[in-house]
Amino acid sequence: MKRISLFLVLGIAGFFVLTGASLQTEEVCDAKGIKERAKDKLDPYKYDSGKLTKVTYKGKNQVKETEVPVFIGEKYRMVFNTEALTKPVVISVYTKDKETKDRKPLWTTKDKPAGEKLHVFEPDKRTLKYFVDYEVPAVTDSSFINKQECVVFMLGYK
Amino acid sequence: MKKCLLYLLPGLFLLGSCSNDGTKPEGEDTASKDSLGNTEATVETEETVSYTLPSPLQVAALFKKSGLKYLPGITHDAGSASKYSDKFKLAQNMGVYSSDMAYTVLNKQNNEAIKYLKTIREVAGQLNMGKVFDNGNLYERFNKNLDSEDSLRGIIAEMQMESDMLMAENDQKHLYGIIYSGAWIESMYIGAQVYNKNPESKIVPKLLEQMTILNNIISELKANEAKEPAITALLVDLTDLQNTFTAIPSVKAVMESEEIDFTKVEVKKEELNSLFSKIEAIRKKIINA
Repeated sequence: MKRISLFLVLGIAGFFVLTGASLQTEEVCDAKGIKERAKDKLDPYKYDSGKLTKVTYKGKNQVKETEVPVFIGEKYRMVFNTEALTKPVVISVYTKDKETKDRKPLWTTKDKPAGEKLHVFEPDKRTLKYFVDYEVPAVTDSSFINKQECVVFMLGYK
Repeated sequence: MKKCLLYLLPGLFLLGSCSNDGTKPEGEDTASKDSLGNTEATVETEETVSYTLPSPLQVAALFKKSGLKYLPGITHDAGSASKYSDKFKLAQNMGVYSSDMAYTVLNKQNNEAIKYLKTIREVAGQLNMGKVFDNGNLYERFNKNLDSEDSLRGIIAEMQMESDMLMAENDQKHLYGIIYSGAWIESMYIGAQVYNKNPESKIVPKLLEQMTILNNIISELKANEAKEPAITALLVDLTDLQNTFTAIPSVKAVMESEEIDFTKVEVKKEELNSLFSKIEAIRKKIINA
């Protein structure tokens, strides 16, 4: 009886550990292809910096912000590749961070056609920083909860 | 026995749940099932700010545009990498060597540049970042294009891109700020050394503009402090440097103005010396084993 109980306990433990694992974030991100296509759009600008941002869908809206330092008087191009995103994540570039009330939007993907996945923006403000915001929508479909996708951002300079 | 099993079951359930928490990605919360029906979504703001940092190559190119000359012997010894044993030191010095490579390439010191590239490749391997050089045969291409500065710049930019993306893919994001802190200090050190040899050069406004990046480096390091204990001591030094910079009255004035223009900033010689000596001291700590 003791041995049966032990197997039972181990079996149940194994079940829960495995169930726990299945609840972990499901990652879908072919970074290699995404970054290559973003890099092509940078040309003739040279790669300066970039970010592969992982987006995990939740039952709530989220805002992820990336602070991008630049140098005054230099020419820059920003490239975003959203092809790995299945939900409409809105990308916007602002003058100040999301905590600042008087910030101004400089550019957004909000009104871009849904099929457009590669976005290019060339900022021309005399500033030391830009702020890139990713507005990740809430999901109600349980198959999307905890699903992880990614978006690539690259900054090029001349 | 049956009773015992009943007590064990909730505990086992918790065990299963804990394994999920342990592997959740950095900065992400696990949504609860209850939130599925929540149509009035709220905006989450915790742990959602990240930073990009300009590449050592761009920094070196900006300095060069401002008249930065090549001074032999001021860069770090490429043969010193073997004396670094822990990952923190290796990462910091990978940054140092990246800046040295950019400086030598832009000044057509290709024999030196190859030495740095070789060292960077070795250090990258020790940091589990060797894949950077596998994609696109970067090492081989670098060696084949030594006559073309433009090609070398393109290859270095590609290396930077591969490193940035690989760190995110491998969940090694904490290395980003550490590597960059080494790169930034080395760039500033080189700029300061060149200025000391030739105080008439127009490099001061660019050095001051570079100082504004420090705030982002500090924020990036703070975000990863829990993952690497050695970051704490580095933060003390960098914060001290930042405070010295922001306490300069002319810098304070320009940072508060609408139109930021460092060419109009007049910094006293002793204020510059104070900044440069702190940069030199931090650099010394970084390159010492």
